[in-house]
Amino acid sequence: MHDEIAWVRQVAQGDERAFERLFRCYAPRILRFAMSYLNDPAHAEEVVQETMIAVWKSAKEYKEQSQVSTWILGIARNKALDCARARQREPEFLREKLDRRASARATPEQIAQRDSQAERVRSALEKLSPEHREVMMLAFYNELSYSEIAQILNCPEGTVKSRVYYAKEQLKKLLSEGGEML
Amino acid sequence: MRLRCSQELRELLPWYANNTLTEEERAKVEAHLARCERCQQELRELRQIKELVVLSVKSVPEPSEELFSRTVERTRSQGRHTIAQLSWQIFALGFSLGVLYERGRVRLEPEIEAFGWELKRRKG
Ligand SMILES: [Zn+2]
Repeated sequence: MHDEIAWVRQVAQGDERAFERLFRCYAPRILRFAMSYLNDPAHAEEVVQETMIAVWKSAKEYKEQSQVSTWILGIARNKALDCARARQREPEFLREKLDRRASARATPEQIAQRDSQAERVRSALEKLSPEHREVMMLAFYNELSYSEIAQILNCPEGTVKSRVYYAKEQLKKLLSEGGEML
Repeated sequence: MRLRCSQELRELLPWYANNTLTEEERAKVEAHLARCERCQQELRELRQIKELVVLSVKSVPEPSEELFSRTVERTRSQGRHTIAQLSWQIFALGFSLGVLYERGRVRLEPEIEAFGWELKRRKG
């Protein structure tokens, strides 16, 4: 286990090497985390960059009673939500182009098969409320604990647990209707 | 045998599925699962849902080296930016003090005069 709190303290002093360590340790996690909000590699990379710059600038304000990971992911969440809002204002044609570029590597059949199921699951997830969708992604895609999610969302643990419980029931219903689940 | 499961226990199952429970919670869930078919079924569904949720997100490569250098570059340019802004502010303050002083609109106290000189010296 690295001493991440020490790294953040050093970053607060302007230590670039500590920043590099923190970046290498967290960039993959932030990238995955941002993908669960945006599902777009180019925009997710942007979120990694914005998050780490915010970490560089606000390391002094880090309160040591919270975990470094939930502090950073909390920042990443705000950046991802900003990015999602900005994307909604983007013209449709621009969004399509970015999405196509991202899936250009696989063969057409691969894309068709995998993407159609993924697409159906995505559209089921989109039918959930934003709060329910978010906890499902945080719990099942990002594999965070209920206490980590409660810290990131700044809400009670009980709320996280009951949200996941109800979101799962709703999603199960939606996926069964679509034949994705028995 | 029909078992009564507490809501508290059922609400732990998603976190059993994503493997984030504490040792103690996990033992409690496992002891219950061994005897409760209803919760076993719930766990199967949760695992299936977890798989589908993972599938719904495009796979991502590792963050590129270029992303790292781009980010570091931006933290540095922001550092430079701040220094540039600061020296511009000092220059502007010194300049306006100088203009006011030369036009004789204000009479500067000796300390302020010295400060104005200090600013002029720094900008130069
Ligand atoms: Zn049970």
